[in-house]
Amino acid sequence: MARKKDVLIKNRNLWGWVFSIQTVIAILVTLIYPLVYAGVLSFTNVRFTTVNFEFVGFDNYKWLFTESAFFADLWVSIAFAVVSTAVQTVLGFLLAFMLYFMKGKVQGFFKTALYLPVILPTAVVSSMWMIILAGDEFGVLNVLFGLTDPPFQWLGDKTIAFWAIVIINTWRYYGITMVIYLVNMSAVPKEVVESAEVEGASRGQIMLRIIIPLVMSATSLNIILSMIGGIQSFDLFYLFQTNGNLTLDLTPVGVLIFKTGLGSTNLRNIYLARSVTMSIVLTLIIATVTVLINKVFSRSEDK
Amino acid sequence: MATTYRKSIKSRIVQILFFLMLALMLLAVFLPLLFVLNTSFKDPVEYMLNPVGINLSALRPQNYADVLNANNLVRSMINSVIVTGFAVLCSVICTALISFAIGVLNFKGNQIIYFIAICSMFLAGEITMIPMYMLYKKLNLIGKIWSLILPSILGLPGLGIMVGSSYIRGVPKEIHEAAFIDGASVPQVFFKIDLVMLVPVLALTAVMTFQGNWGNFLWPYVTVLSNKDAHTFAITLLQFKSQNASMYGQYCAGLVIMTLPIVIVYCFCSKYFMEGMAAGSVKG
Repeated sequence: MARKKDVLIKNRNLWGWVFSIQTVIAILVTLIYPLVYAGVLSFTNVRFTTVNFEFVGFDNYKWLFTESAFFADLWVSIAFAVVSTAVQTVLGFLLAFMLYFMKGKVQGFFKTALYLPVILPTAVVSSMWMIILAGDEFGVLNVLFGLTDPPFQWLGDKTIAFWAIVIINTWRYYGITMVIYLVNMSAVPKEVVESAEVEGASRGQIMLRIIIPLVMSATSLNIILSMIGGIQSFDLFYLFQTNGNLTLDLTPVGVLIFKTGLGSTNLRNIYLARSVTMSIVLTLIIATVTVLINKVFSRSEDK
Repeated sequence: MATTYRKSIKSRIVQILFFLMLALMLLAVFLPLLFVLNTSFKDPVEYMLNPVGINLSALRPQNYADVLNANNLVRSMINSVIVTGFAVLCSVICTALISFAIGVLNFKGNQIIYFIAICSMFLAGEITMIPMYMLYKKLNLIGKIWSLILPSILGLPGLGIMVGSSYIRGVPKEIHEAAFIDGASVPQVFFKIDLVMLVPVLALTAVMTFQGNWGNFLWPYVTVLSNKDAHTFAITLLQFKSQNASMYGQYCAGLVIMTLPIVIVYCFCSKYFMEGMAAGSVKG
């Protein structure tokens, strides 16, 4: 069949590449070139203030493994990723499960409305929560809880700030988890669930015995997406630190990378090569985590 | 009979409970947004006295005019529109073309492009930032709006490519075969058949790209901070806040102005957008 179809299209390969030109250029310019260049830069001592740089072998990698705060901050990122993934997956699943029983327009309305935070711009999300968590007497939470004298610093304590950002992050992204679950649940035949209900199964039993096993692939996709997002996440942390008094004790590795590089406020402290090196190692770690999670789930599905 | 009756009452109660919990969740999710909307109509003194209260008798739409007149906001809004416009247009075109190429033409090398596009989604964004910065510096584009427009033209819509290709691959082969047997050319098939089918995926790509670019502050912060004329909306607004710490009303008005376009676009194509999400997440 496939061969017959292929013969039907004249100059298949030529047309294929014509339609791919834009993508190929994008891949070359915004992906391959910077990746190769990043690899090269990680072996140099390039800085912001100097024009010339020289090759220094593995010095940056040595620095990363011995002197840098890379691994200390990586643990912040991983803790954040694990906790947010757990919260987000459970919340997204429960919402999708409730939506599954809603009909047509009601489901459509809740789904569309509940997804809304995902599409909000980063600057809006961070600004909004900074006003709410502000550590002065006008901070919304401080006013609501009567903590204005002296004003409570929500982002000043490492543990409280950690959970605050977990909640904000969940608020922002649970919609993705929810919709992915809902799409996969919708593939479960309604008759199966209905006949179970007629047999007297409660919704809890339906959830545990029918739905959860059938949406395992969605669970693995959701966990991978939130773990990757969690380990990479840094925009909220960075904005909260620069504009909102977030304690520097809570620095995920993404912020460290950005602040070592172009995000530094002091031009003399910009170590481009170190920043690039850390981002390379972080990417390798993320790739490993992705592969590992995939393995765990494909094994549990085999059983 | 009696047992069925009891069951249906029980399941009806659970159904109502589910509905109420969803409604409650919706309210909780929207509260912070409603707070911003409420604050955007407050004058500074009112906010200082009572940040969370609602005072309908003292609405102050003036905040919107004030923040729009604040220096540079309109200019940076136009910049954001230009950058986002290019990004959305190019990512949609790119998604449509490559999805067709991979899904229908099945040409030599399509697997490599597909694989690279997927991998690009898992990269830590910072890894390409410094090399790209140095490239733009060499091209002498730092501080110019072109350092924002070029990346948006050259964006790689990884998600769109992944969803679009598998979507087109899932279409029954007979549809394309019939068209080609009838003697339709490759561009004809693309425009008449696949472009139409891809609309949900293109809506998904458009909204995601819009979201990613419209409120983006990182790359603009790195490249155009030194030049006020090239600032984007997000940068100007964040600067406005740090310079006018107590202007909560105007600041929130700015946030509302920034939020509205993306919400309108989202509502406008939410049906297609959700279809696109469905197409993307079944395959996984």
